[in-house]
Amino acid sequence: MNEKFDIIRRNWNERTPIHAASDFYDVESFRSGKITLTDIEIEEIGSVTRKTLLHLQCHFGMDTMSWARLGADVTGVDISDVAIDLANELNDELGLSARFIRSNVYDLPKILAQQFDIVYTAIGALCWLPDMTAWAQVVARFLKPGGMFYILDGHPTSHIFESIPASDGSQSLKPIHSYFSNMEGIYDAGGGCAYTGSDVIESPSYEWQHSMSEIVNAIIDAGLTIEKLNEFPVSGYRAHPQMIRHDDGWWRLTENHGTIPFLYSIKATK
Amino acid sequence: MDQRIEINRRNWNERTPIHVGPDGYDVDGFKAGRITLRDIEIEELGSVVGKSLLHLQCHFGMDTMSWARLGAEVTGVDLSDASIDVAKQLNAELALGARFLRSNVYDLPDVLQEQFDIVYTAIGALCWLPDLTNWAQIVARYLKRGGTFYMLDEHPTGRIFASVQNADGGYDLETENQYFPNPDGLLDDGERNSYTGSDTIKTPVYEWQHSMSEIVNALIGADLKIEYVHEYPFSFFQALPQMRQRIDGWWELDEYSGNIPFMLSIKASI
Repeated sequence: MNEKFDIIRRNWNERTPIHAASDFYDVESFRSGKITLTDIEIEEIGSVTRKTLLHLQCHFGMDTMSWARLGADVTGVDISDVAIDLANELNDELGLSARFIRSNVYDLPKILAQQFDIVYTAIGALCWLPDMTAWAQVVARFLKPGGMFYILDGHPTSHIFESIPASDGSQSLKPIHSYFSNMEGIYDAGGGCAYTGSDVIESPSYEWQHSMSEIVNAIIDAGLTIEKLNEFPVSGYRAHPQMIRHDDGWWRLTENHGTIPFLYSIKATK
Repeated sequence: MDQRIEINRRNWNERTPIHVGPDGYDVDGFKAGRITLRDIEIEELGSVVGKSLLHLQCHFGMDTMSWARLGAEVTGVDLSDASIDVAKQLNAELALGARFLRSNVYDLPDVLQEQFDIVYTAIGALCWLPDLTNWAQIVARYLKRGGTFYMLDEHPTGRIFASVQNADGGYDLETENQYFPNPDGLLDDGERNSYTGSDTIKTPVYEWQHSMSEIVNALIGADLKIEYVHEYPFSFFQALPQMRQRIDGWWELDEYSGNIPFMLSIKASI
């Protein structure tokens, strides 16, 4: 397993400078004050003023530091050294007093001891983790009693589908991939495009599918109480060619809007 | 009174004699002592000996009376007069000590006051209810403190798909229906086959789609605590024409087996 984490770490090390230079991440706007969080997260988490917040799988920290801009006392953790280096640079440059730690989620209890008011995870996170049971134990470990866990991530149902072009040029949504969890992970040999554009990521990677029940039950089994589960027919990126981006920044299917949930959020308390 | 519920009552009155008949639910097997419950329900709900159990949307009561055979003290409730009449006849004939009440779920407090150890609902139930917020309030209203709610029903993701016949005479899965709830309901006013065989049902019927989050949040909103959610890659009926029945009775897609969740179960406590 450590070998798989190392492969993922190297993959994200390669991605980081590509993402940092992309329009998708738009680091310049962040430098000039932009809050990179989505409206869904800001509304559902509510006020974070003077709350301690731990952001798991924070990449290079723009979301983490956005919570700092909204008043939270933040700590971001990521597996990639390059991402954490960039996060620290941005934090110093902007004087945002966030703290960043390089660690994979499962090893975090070895190097971080405190507990937080909020543990937070956002879009594109759980697919890089093999084991939800151990992950949820880490979440619970870092929450104060009464503290809140919040996640917004890709909906497992949306991962079933691929768009297949028809002869008339239209796209049809077909169920191709398994909804259910794959313990071994799916190996990606590399050579595909970054999700931010046309740059090629050469490093291989692993991904894991996690069903809704696997996620929910892991959280419950770690001793947390589910307060809210929400599902959304919008995506944070162009998951299918027939999606278009609306003024609110979310991508929606042009036809069949509402057939597929692309995001879910869970709020749980300890 | 919601006219759509009245329409559904008439639909289920028409269905009942067909379901009781030779192409129906194998009433003779039940009379001879068969437990009609599924292995999943029996395993997940555990021992019901000496417990009081309320079965919402019980149809003509074979599942209800099966719980009685397993030692529970049972009350079954259904919208359809014809169904409740058959349930009472079977109960009298087989001396199973069950009680049956005719009522729609929402009006049950008009005719029933007590509380139960278990509230149970299964197999094609929630799609006949327009409003899950009120439904969950009813569930909570009938649970004793410390009581258990258990449901096994269709998974909202499985309901997205429809089958279309292809040139080879086989079927392709199409992404056709909404995942998200439709409060207006879907009126089916054409003649259609009963799901039990070739008999035609002429009465119109309303169905409602309910997302996972709608179900879970309704239960949480009624102060129930979710214990678990389970998802299954098979169905209790031939939901799609290319499904085949397994030796253990569940229906699954041969080609995509394991890919799509067709059922979910939820256990919650109060």
